[in-house]
Amino acid sequence: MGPFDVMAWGSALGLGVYFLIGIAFGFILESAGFGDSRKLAGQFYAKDLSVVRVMFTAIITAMLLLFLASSVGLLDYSDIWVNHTYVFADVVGGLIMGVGFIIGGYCPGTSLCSAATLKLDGVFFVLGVFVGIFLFGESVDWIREAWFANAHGRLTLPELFGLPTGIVVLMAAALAFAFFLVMDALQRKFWPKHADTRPWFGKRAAGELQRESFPPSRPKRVSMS
Amino acid sequence: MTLSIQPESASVTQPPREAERTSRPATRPAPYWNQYAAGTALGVLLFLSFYVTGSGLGASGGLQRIVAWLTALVAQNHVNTTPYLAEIAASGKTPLNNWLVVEVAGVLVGGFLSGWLRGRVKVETFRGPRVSDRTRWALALLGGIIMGWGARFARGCTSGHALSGGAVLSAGAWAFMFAVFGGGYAMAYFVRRQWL
Amino acid sequence: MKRWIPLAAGIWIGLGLVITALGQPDPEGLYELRKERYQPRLDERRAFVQPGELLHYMYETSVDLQLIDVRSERDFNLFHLLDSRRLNESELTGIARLEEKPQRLTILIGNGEAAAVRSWKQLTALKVPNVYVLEGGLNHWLDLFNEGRLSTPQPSSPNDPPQLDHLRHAFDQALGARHPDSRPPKTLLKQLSYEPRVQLKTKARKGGGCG
Repeated sequence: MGPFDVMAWGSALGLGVYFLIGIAFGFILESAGFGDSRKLAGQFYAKDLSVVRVMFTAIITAMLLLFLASSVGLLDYSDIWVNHTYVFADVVGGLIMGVGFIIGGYCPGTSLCSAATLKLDGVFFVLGVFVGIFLFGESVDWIREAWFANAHGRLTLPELFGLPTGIVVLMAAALAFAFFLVMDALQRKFWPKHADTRPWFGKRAAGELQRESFPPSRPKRVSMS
Repeated sequence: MTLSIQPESASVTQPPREAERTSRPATRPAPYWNQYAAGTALGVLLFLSFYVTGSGLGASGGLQRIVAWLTALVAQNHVNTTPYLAEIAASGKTPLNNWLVVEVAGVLVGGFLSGWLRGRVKVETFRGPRVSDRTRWALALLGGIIMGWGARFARGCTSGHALSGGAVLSAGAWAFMFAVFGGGYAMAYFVRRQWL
Repeated sequence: MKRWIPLAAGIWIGLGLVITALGQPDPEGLYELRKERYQPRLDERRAFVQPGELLHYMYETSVDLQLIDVRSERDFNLFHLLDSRRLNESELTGIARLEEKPQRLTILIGNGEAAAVRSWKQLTALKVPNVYVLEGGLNHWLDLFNEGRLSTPQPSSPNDPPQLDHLRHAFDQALGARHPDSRPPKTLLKQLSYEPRVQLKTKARKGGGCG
């Protein structure tokens, strides 16, 4: 029954597992185009929706698999790392990160992919992250109280709402779906020439699934027809 | 026939939109993956990560260790006397010998591999058409600083906190996720020059 | 409408319904799943702490001692150990949720052992570290201590049947923690012998994710 104490298999094998996971993570992120800050920032103008789509699809997919495995006893949910809840730090930190996201155009994970493919703005972003982390270490003593405020430990949404886990999962799936539809509609409204999907319902729904708002650049020139 | 090309960025060579609409695969550049498919793949990876190791994905934890290690290289005493850094990199500790750092290294390798296989490894700067490279670099640096500080304050970045924490239904992670989107949307209007 | 959308939505909803129908394992269920790992601790008595050792930890300031009483409110009011607090079995998950302090020692206290062992199983399945059961419960404790002194003859080990879980002792008044035996004096430690069972796990649980 999962999860396993991977490091107990030997530090080489254990770290090897994490290395592979990291490779897969970076590979998927770059394949989805997250090395491009214009795509990432485009979320906040409803111009490019890859972050919303990828992130929420990933969350729901993982959630379904996780809780299914837990229900049938394949996975011990109490052994899974569940981020602890510190309401102040989560909300204020989240707002700060939202601001940093739109200014910088990346988040730490995607900036690594960007820097790995030699994008200069990605490199500068990663350097900034180093500086930011260092500054945090210097300032943590002054904000310690805020940093630990409203601690609720390993609080999960089912516990918070008093609802069965499965219901919360369905709610999350519904939320994700609604988000997809709304963002699609916003994109078609604000960027009609740019919209990369056609409506899900109705007559105009037929046709190509998705065009790319920010096609990746290629060294060769494409000839115009 | 007029081509309606939107000049996205002066620094990126862009194929004409016509070529895309007529869907002749030979002339289209290697597209990014379908987004929902990529999301599903990422979700499966996230599940496997939890199933095998008990932890999700993440980046800022590894970066924090690298920062602590670098600081220790130049100022070991300072590290020893700062509790936040000391627990990671006090004298005698090996901050890099840790799964978080190894995972970050993997992300770099994986990102490079994916870009290299598709011909996307190229020195360039992504930016909107109305700003210069230099401005973009400065803003990327500033954004990174803000993000780095914020990621430690929130105890995770979007990969670790929002993605992984969200998947396991951590209440704080969901609050964080909404806050990130809120902050981004609120700020978007003021930095629109950089992107649009 | 695109073909894959209803398919994907159907899969998501379908799996969600399956999860709802199957439900998540409760702490008892979780314990059963990992039983081989935990049951030996009970069978070999390694999860039980003897009164002498508890008395030692009551005065050991370096260890954060948490005494949890799982009995009824009535019994609690009659007598309870000093600085212990009463929780229903359903409130135990709240403890498991809060910040784990690796140096915190949790001792579960019942009249006998049955209720405390049930709670031990729950907390152990929820991965709370350093949880033990008071051997013999308060029945044995009160056999051993008598008005702030040791009883003579000293009862060696609890010989109550394991299912016995009501308070065997009688009280004229509900003294709660004001009773002298709620925290016997430190000097009695010299006269008490016990088998030390507590092994404090100091390593905090692996902090995963991005940190």
